[in-house]
Amino acid sequence: MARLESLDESLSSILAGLECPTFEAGPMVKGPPLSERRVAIISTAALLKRGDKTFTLGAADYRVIPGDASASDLVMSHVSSNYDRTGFQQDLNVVFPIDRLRELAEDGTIGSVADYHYSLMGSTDPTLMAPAVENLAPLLKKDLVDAILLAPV
Amino acid sequence: MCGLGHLFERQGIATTAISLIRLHAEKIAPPRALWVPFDLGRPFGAPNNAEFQGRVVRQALSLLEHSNGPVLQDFPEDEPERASESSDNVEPWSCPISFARNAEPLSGPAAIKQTLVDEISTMQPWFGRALQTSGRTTVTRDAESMEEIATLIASMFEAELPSSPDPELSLVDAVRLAAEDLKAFMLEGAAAQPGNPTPVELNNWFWHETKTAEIFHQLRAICKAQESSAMQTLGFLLVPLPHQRAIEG
Repeated sequence: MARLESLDESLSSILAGLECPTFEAGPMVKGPPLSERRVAIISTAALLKRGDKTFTLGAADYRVIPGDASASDLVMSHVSSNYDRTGFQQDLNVVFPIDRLRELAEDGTIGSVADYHYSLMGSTDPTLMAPAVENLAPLLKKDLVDAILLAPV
Repeated sequence: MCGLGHLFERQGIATTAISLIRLHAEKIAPPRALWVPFDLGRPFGAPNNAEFQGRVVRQALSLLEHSNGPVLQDFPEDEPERASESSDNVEPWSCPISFARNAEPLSGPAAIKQTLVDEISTMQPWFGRALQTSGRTTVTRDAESMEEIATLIASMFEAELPSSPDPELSLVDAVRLAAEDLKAFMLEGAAAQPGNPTPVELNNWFWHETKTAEIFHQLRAICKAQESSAMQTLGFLLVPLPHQRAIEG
């Protein structure tokens, strides 16, 4: 389990000592009730469509994941080997829960699922991802997204 | 991941994040986060368990109703126990086909390539079975291209490092991606064998019983001995920390 005390000591000591960036907290963005929200997934698992450019060491860019991409279209190119990939190998939704979002849209829990989702690589310093986020925000707004589910790996 | 919450909210879009390391979520304090007590690599819990994953997604999305924060909640359930972890009566999984290592360490590019090709060939039917059953693979290249991985990795054991086989990738990224593909090929094949292995059993099998992993350990030592910092980073990335061995010298 991802409790630091239950991880291998070599890994937990690095994670515990990892310098985390600080951000000045602004006001939280408000929105309509969940049942009216349009939700996109932003994954930091370095997912990409098969054949797209792979993520490389230190990458701070993003890849587009179309909402209708099939599970067999999506692969991972994260640089870290320090996490278990067997869950992702068995079921895309362990990392990218697109089927669960579709179910929540069908039962009315959320309003709808975005047409496009996006992926970055989480091992990169998040402050370096600010330009990518500035590029993604207008794309998300054009897709009428008003809620993002951020999914690490 | 939590840092992205701040960045997207600045752009005017509400966020809710999954957190795998609670300490990091406490330090970064994103607007809304749900800490989950699952293995790294499994932010939504159990594979092929839609009900459980749905509860995680539902709780994470419910945080969007909060307009004051930051909000950090804990998901109350552990990942459902997997078959061979939940009962003392179930025999632990072991790979039914032999990947027994030689007593002598492997040496020389030709022997290393042949060893990799042999293990790929041994696992091929099970990888094919996995592909047939699930309809997908996370290996990024064709099964027919697996021998190219063996060629590239073996070439790293030559007296001089090779050039990258892909003009769009550095040698470091080409080797890293090749190694990940080979590992995924082996793990997907092993998971298709009888016995419903757990992630821990699969990863322990790969890192402690295959010759492929033995070669990864040797390659790590070669990379760590290079002057290039990128190559040293590759050495660090090739083998997960819990499975790394001390490198002498």
